[in-house]
Amino acid sequence: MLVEKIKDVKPGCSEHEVVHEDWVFKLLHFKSKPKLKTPLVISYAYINRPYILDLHKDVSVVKYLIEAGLDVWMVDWGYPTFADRHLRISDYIDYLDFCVDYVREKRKVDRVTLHGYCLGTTLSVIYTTLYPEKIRNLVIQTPPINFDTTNTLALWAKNIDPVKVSNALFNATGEFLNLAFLLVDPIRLVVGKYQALLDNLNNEKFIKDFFYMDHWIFDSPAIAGKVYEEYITRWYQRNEIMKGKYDVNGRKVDFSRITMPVLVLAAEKDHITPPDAVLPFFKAIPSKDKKMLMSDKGHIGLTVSRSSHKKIWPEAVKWIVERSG
Amino acid sequence: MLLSEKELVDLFRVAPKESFELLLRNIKMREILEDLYSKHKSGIKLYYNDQFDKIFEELFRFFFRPLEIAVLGSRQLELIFPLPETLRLYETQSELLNAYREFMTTLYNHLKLTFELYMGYVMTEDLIQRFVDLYLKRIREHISEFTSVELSTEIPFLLPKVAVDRLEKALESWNEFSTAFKSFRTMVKETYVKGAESFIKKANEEEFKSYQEFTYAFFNEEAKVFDELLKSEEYLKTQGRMLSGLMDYIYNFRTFIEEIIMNNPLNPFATISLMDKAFERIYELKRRIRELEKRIERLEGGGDVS
Repeated sequence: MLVEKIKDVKPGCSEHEVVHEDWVFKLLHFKSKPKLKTPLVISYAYINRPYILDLHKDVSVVKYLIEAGLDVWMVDWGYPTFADRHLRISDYIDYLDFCVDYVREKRKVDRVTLHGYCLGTTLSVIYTTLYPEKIRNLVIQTPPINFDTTNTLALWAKNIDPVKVSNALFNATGEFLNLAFLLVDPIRLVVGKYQALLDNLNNEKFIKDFFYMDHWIFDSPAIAGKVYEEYITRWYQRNEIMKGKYDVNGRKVDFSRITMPVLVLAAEKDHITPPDAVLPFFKAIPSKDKKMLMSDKGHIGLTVSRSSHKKIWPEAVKWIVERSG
Repeated sequence: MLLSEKELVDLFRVAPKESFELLLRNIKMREILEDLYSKHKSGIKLYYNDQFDKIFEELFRFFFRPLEIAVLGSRQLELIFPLPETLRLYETQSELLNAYREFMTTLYNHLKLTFELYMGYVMTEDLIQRFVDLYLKRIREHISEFTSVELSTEIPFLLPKVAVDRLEKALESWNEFSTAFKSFRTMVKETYVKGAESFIKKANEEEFKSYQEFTYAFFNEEAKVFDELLKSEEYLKTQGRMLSGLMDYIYNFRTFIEEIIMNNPLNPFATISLMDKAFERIYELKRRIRELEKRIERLEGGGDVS
């Protein structure tokens, strides 16, 4: 029975506690006995749920980091409701600053490692340019920083009016975003993927992996309306971050302040944030200790594929560990 | 059936709703694809037929359905309010009712004459008169039901002009949306047919050794044409127009209802726009509080308070 095989599929495997809540935002701390001095704060994208980094024990990046002796914290941007429509990107940066200060104070350290993922990377890069003194290492995974790319999603984002969406729906709802993400590649995502499931109805491992992923894919928070307006207009349409024109409450985002060690994790087959979305940034930052690891997977495969956990993550974690003592 | 009905019902309870729907659609597509493959295996040449159309419907209905609901939902609007097209419809109905009234009058006269002839045998005069009085009263009091429809520019408190303006904008946006949606649907269908025909040509030229090879070739041909379409200038424009029309429609229709509510002194409810304004102010206040907290922290720490 298919249902028997998937009834225990509940994403998120590492034990953690919520150490702080601020309306929709939360700071999570994963239980561990860290050996390394520098804590690691993960800033995930506000567009999906962060447990993709801890999907299940075979492909949990969080588990890997903990086992390597790191003290892992994670920002959960939550599920914005109608009441949160007026959140702004500056509020996200502000809460990220609160979290970094909280961890610094708790662990009595000056600096932390900041690990951004997808749009959480964009927040992390912005934050790091504003508060470089608080960041020891910057790790960015599938990062959208240069938005002037030719992938389908970027072209679509450049051809829509986000203000109309925000006025009509208040927030860019999860269902609205899901339709867009599926329509970007309808044959592979709506047919090919599910036909593969039907080919593998007797393969328990395949089915479990499939539904772990689908639970995550369709667990989509809304993007707060005003954040959506700003992210589409200023990031995608005007590419302000890459052009050095983006500011947070009047404070300019300046790449010249990124002098700390930087690790970039990119994916060749990423149709959401292709390598071109980070290469110009990688070249532009003055950091002398910078490294890029390129996976042959896609946007999500980099995190959850077993091959990435054999090839990419050991090297990535080794890089972080070497700089966290 | 690949999964029994009971399995599907159980699956509905535990799987995400989108996964469930997509799985159901794919089961239907697979039944058709298996049939097409068996024909191919038996050496029968494939051609574009309604089986390919059914695959298309299963594939894209997932995307089309929410949009179609928006199109159909809007039609109800046109029937509710006295806009020009609606008025024409009412006038036609009025003519029909007038014809019916004339028929009723003739019938009444006929019955009256008949009753008079039989007076004293089976019926009393009072009963006939009562029927006549009631009928005339009905015509007198509700004449507008039978004869004409009047267009009011404003019905104070109930249908203010500002609400009518919003409604007109909503209908304009809906027209823009439905026109763009038709183009969108046509564009997607033509692309699908192009991919299917390319696959059919391949399938009729070479033999696929397994069902998996057969379907892989089909998906591959479709994916190629869609990759091209989704980045094309025409598609981007159409999708942009469709989204813009739909969002304008939702916004204008909602504000139309809000205008009706807000202009009625009996209304006890706050509208969603008022709530939105309140939440905006709350967020502004929260930011100010956070800024003040930071200043206090800096003051206590003896730092810069600027």
